Amino acid sequence: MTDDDLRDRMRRADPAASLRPLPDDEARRLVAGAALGSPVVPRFSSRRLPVLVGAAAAIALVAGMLVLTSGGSEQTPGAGVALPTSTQRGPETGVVNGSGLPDDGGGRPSASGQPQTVTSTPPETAPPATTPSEGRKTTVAVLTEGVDDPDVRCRRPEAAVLGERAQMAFEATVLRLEGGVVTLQVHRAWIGEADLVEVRNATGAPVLAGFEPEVGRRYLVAASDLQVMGCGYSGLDEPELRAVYDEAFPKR
Amino acid sequence: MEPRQTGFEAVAQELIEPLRRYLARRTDAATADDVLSETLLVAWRRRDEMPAEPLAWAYAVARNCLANADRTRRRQDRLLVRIWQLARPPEHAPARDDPDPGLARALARLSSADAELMRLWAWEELGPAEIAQVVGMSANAVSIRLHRARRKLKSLLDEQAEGERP
Repeated sequence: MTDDDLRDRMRRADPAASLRPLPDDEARRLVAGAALGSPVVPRFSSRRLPVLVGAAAAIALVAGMLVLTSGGSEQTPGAGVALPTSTQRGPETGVVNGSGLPDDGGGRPSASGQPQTVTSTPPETAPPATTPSEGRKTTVAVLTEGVDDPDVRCRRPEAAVLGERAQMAFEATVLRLEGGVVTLQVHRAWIGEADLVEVRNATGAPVLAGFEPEVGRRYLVAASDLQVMGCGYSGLDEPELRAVYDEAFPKR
Repeated sequence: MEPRQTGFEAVAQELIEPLRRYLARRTDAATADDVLSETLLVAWRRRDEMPAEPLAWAYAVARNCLANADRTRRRQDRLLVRIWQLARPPEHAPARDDPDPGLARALARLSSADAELMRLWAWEELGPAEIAQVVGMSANAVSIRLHRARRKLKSLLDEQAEGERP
């Protein structure tokens, strides 16, 4: 294989090959936004707004539910769950390290500078700053449904695979189904931590990772890279699946 | 309108499509949108430093903005998942519509730095000097590493082809 052959093969697999050019007015709007010092997200973006609105609604929903369910006391995980929690204070926060500028070395991300906290959820979609849950420990894991590949044949769930891949595995009851968001109250986590978990079902179908969630029913849910694991790894809380979880995470 | 802004706008318009492709090759659509906006904003702020041939410089800005976005996401993820779990190297899972899963698997077996050199060479179609500008290495070092990365990638693809023969 020559270098040209290799480059041709890579070009044929270029993920951007099907990217359609931005309309001219959209490109102008982006550049104008930059020049005004206010970055804009392309309007053509199909996923952005619904996701953010959905997230805000879900967070507000969780905050409201905490008032109803916690009775003013802290929501803490059970004794068997010993992972860090976050204190949710309105918008989610993240850390930006560096300025986003290329350094003198020619574009390597800057590793220097103090992290600064920034708001990552747009203010217009965020819940009020003084949410009822302020100061109360909550952890909201926002999962999405994993891609369901029709070409993949599922084998029976194996503890070794679950143990290797799952970053969250928990037993939870469905509290609410609303707008494609399944809200689960976690009772026990084998791994990972959350009091409430929202699973965003982006498929539009009522089925989530191969099972159809029902309010009030108890499920075992595993997630890898914040995606719910399908192929039988998530489903109704039944002895057979529970045995897989127990075997996968024997220390808990 | 000040002349400099006019100049920036004209150049930025030319950069948008290459930057969109660059980001589409490396992240999801929503992140790509965000990082594109951020990249343009940073480019505007640093427009005085923009070279006459701005593409590699702009890729470097985008690369850094993308790294910042990744850091932010990891920070958020740490609220949910233990750090050591996230630190595990992600298993390679070819996308459903990946046109060449074998190539994707082979690229995943290169070091991330070498794989990035290959992408910049094949997809962004940059030469060693431009790649050097993007990744912050010397052009000479890029040439050597690129040569080795190509050789390794070919070897991995050959291995795959051997394995698939009946």
